[in-house]
Amino acid sequence: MKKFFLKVVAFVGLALLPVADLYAEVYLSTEQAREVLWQSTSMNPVTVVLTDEQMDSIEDASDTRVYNDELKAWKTETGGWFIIDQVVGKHEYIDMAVALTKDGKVKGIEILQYREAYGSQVRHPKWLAQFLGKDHTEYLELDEQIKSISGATLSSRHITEGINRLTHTWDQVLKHL
Amino acid sequence: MLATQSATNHIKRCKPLLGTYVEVSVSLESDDNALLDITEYVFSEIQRIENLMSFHDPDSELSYVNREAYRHSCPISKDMEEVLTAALTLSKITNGIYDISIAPTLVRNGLLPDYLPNVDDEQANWQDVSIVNGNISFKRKALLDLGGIAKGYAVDRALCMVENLVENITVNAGGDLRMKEWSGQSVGIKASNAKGLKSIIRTPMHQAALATSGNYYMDRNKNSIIHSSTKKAVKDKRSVSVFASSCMLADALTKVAFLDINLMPIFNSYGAKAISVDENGNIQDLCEALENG
Repeated sequence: MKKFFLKVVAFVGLALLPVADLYAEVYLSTEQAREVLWQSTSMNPVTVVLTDEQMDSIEDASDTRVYNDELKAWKTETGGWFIIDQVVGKHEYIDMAVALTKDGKVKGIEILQYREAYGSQVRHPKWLAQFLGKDHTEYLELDEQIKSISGATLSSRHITEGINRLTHTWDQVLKHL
Repeated sequence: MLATQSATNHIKRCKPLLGTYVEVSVSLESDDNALLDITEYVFSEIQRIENLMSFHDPDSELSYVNREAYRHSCPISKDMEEVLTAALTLSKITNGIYDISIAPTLVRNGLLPDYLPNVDDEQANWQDVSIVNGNISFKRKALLDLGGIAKGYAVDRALCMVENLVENITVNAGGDLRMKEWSGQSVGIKASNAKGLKSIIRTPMHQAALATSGNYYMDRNKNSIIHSSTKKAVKDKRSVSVFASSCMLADALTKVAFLDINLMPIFNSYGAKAISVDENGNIQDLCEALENG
């Protein structure tokens, strides 16, 4: 029921709100992140689809919203994990790569894409969540001479929450696979 | 991203460190692996400084100082000594407008964690902090927070460690940034209004380092810029950006520019430049603003 509601919110959001300017910054590719985090350790993709019960249980344990029931995960030959995941904050929407050891400890984190909404739209996690897995967003075109951006410091606590969600996902699901 | 033998290769990485997003870009005539190795050094140096200077980590050197320096003199690392000495020098020059002992107010306002000894925020100030021969002691109970200045120091340290190995490098820790080849470069500064971010304003780099302070990411009733004497939060919709030779100095001076525009003359003595960006994206040079009344 909760997921259905979220989908309705996302759809209504798409229909009513103006298209956002999302400023996007692209960092390492998935392959580069895998090389940095796991070097030459071989790994195989594992299909992970969370049940409603698992999603609720992970939400309760991590106190963090689970937006996506599918996990993009690879299991390494050493029993560790390589996961591509999204984090939706109040201001930012991020793709990240996370390596977990065979004991579920965080081995490394790499941000792959950072997006931040500009313009006067209401920015809210649910609003940003509508862009999950979509590529049609209109990105803000920056002056090409701008290579770096300065601004007030944005806390990375949503990454911390996302990592917490993934370690609980490991504890409840991945370690049994 | 694929390298050839003769062309300059670029790589840009980002990791969550120092409580924010830290971006490192390097350019070098070499392959991806060499560039990735260099960025690894940079991130590990930033991690090392975070481990020393984090207020949030009970095991950091700063937390040790905050727990113990009132009771006895504590030996501190060279890094800690450098940052604290710079902070205390700035406190002296600004008559205490800049003060890293403001932490109890930030704890009370919920911006910093509350696990250290309870300290009355009216009690101590920077003059109660003494550093002699690599040892620190507090004359009264105090809590120090190195937040911004440590972030700037981490950027400086990380960049200086590898700058001779690369053609160019930029380290950007959540808006505190420093470039090796900064001359002739442009940067974007985020402008905000009451509803949130609005645009990115382009401006030339005036110095190697740039830091910005503003309140637009904070929750409505929270604010991290506190007046040292009144303990009141500064409510200002502008953001202030400072260009300086080091990122540590740039970050510290953003607070000074926010708190007292009459202190702008000290910016000249540091060779620094301060600008503000208002809700409509208008840029104002704060040194000129003071001269023009």
